Amino acid sequence: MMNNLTKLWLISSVLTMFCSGCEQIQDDRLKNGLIYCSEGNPENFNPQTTTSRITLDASVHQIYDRLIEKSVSSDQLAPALAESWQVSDDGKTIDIFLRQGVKFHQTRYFIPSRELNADDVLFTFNRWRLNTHPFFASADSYPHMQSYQLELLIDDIEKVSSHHVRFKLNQANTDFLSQLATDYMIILSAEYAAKLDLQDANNLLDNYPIGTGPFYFEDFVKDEYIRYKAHPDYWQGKAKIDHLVYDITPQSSNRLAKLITGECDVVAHPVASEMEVLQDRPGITLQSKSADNIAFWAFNTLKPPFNKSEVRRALAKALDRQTIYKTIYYGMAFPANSLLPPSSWAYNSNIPAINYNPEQAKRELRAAGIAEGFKMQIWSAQIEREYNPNSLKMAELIKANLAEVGIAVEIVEFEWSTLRKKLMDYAHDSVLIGWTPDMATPDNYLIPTLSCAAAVIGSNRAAWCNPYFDNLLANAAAATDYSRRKDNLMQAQSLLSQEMPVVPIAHSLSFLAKQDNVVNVKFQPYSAISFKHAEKF
Amino acid sequence: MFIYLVKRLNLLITTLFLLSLLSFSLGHLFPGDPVINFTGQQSLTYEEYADIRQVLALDDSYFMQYLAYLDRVFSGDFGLSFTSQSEVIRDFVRIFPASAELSFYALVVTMLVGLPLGLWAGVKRNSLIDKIIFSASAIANSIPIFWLGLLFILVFSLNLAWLPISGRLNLLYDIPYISGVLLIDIALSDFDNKWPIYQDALRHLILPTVTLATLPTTLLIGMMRTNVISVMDSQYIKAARTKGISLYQIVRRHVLRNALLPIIPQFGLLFNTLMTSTMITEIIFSWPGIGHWLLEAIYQRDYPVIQASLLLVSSFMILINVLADIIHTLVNPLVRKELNG
Repeated sequence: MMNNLTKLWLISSVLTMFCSGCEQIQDDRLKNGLIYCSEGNPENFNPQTTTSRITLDASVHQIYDRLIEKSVSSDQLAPALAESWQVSDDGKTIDIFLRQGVKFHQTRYFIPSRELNADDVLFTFNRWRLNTHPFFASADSYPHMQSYQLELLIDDIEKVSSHHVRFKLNQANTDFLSQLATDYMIILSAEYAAKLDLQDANNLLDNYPIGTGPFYFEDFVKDEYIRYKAHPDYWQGKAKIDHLVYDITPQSSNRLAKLITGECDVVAHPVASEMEVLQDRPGITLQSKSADNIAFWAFNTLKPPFNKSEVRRALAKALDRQTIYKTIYYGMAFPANSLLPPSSWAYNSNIPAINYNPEQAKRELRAAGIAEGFKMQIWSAQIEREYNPNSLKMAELIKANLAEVGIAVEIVEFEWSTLRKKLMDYAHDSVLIGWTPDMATPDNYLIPTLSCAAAVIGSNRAAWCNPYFDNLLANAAAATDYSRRKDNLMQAQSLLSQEMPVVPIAHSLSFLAKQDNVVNVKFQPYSAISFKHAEKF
Repeated sequence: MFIYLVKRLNLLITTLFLLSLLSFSLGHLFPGDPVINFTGQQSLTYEEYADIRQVLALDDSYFMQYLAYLDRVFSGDFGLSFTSQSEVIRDFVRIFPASAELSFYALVVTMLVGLPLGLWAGVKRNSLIDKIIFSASAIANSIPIFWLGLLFILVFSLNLAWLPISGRLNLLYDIPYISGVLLIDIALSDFDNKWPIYQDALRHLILPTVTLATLPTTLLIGMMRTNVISVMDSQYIKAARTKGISLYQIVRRHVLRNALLPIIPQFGLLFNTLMTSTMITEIIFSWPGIGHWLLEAIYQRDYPVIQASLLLVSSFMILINVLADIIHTLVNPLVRKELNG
């Protein structure tokens, strides 16, 4: 008997010992590292191959640098890997002078033997530009570049000397330099690619990245974490934190809890319903970003009856958007009529508002031949996006709305990267998704989301292709004077409002929550998150 | 004895056969192309596709396809995961130690807490201490595990801020993967000051282990108590008591051993409860084990992973059950006598 009592006593004393250690010992490894609780798995680590914000957040500003950076005010361009540049008078030739002494990452899978030079720039651009390039086929598509048709805009890229590259364009394009500053225009290592090509392992280029950025990639375990380490020879000086870890936490309530317990230093997308908890909490700060994004409900216009614009317009009228603003966004969003937010200079304020009118929707649907009991699917993602804190709940609200007009909705939910893959096949009826722009230019809301080129590569969620619409966008891009440009963009928005391939829902404010002792996390419009200057006290 | 073994093995093989049949048919029942569902390879050229169709014997009868499937299963080929494009079996081997580690600690806690308490309650039957132990275990037994886990998180993590709520270790500790068992890997790693790392790992272990151990502990207390009571009532104990042997001696020499024996076959049952609870616990505490893996696979419609984990986890559980049965027979003289009878 005593024996057992002694054991019991031992156990309880061991348990108390555990708990006496509950006060965490301060450790340098914890002080010099930062944990960012992100919302999902990146598809890979190369922003050229995707428009998924999660992939961009995991790669753009951590692993890579661009030739040109957007400065903080985001209107002006600042030198980065390009020390200076020169545009010819006709606007068709752009000379770029590269910085000297920029070192690539040294990792367990690659040891660079040389610094950045013109070959790297040529490789990076030719990789997506020329379909004969050995690395062209190693990614499915290059959505940003292909939707802007940059491969057609660039006529040739020439290496003038080891640190001088010349871009030749087919026509003058005022936005080309801003293009170079977008998140997609990162610079890869040609030496690394050559090594992979020799090993016949081209597909590793995007999964085991090598760049010049402030952190190098160490390890990624799906559904668990991504690890980075500070690049010791970074050309702007080594980052203040040594270790950067992305803790993949898809559930927003979990991220919130982990922020409160201190397991996360920074968390992505706290949802509006949690704001109150965070605002009152000492030790936690919220950072916000203007409502530049757009959430929409896209119909697959390849599939009848969604190929008829009257059906799409009628469905839009069945949508009770006021309830959505209240219950999904908790008032942290603006109603959307166009894809462009009202703050944009090209916003068309004359577009008629979409009004909730189930009776009229029902009449129009019957007139369009949609019988009572028609079945359709709404696809939705399981994770929060900047533009949509809870797309599943939104899908349920829409389901209830559509039940009123006699349509039975089946909601199909997917994990984020699976959803994106499945959408490319255009097997959906409709999907709740959205867009966060990468550039301050208004056409960035329209070209990557709804142009014909985007439909061909599968990133146009409505599979909608209207030559007249594309024509308006092309005219806008070519127009040199402001009013003609605006005019074309306004007409494009009117066309969207008539055709309704997607129903705009809301422009949402987006947030980032962090511990007070973490500073200088860059969380700004038109760009992915950056920990380059982040510090932890 | 031999016949008994054959019977048990027969049960094992029949169940495994049915399971493999189910797992095989899932490849056809899941939406999509069986070629892709079985192999997980999504971007195939036409020739590769035709080759794989040959290997899978998809043009033959279902029977031949099943044989081909078994052949692959025995060589450990469960195809590739849709989402990670790595071999399912390798992912399983990588992830399994985390689950096993958690289950093992929970089992240890269960035994350390459950056996003494059950013994104590049984020996002091109908006393106050018995009533306290028995009612406490009845209450703990009726609490759903996910609720208990969330309650612990609320109290110990969010309110008291004592313990972390997710994962196995602070991710900033970059412990290389060697055995997959974290406490061993920490010992094998070449960090200089390991104490804070152990401490961190233990802090992460407490809540999941306690949550996971609760249900089996109550079961074990109940079993142990019943067994002790029945042994205490038996004639030889009464005889021993009339001989004047002290209670301590009786418990130590006779009761403990005889009460433990019938529990061994129940360990299979206990283990099943533990495995299913492990999956739930892993999901609550984001513990990177099999449960977490399976749930993510379901969310991501990762059919090869669902198919493989179904087969592997259930085979494992059945194997443990049958093993516990056989061991019980080997060590318990009463059952052995019956069999040889």
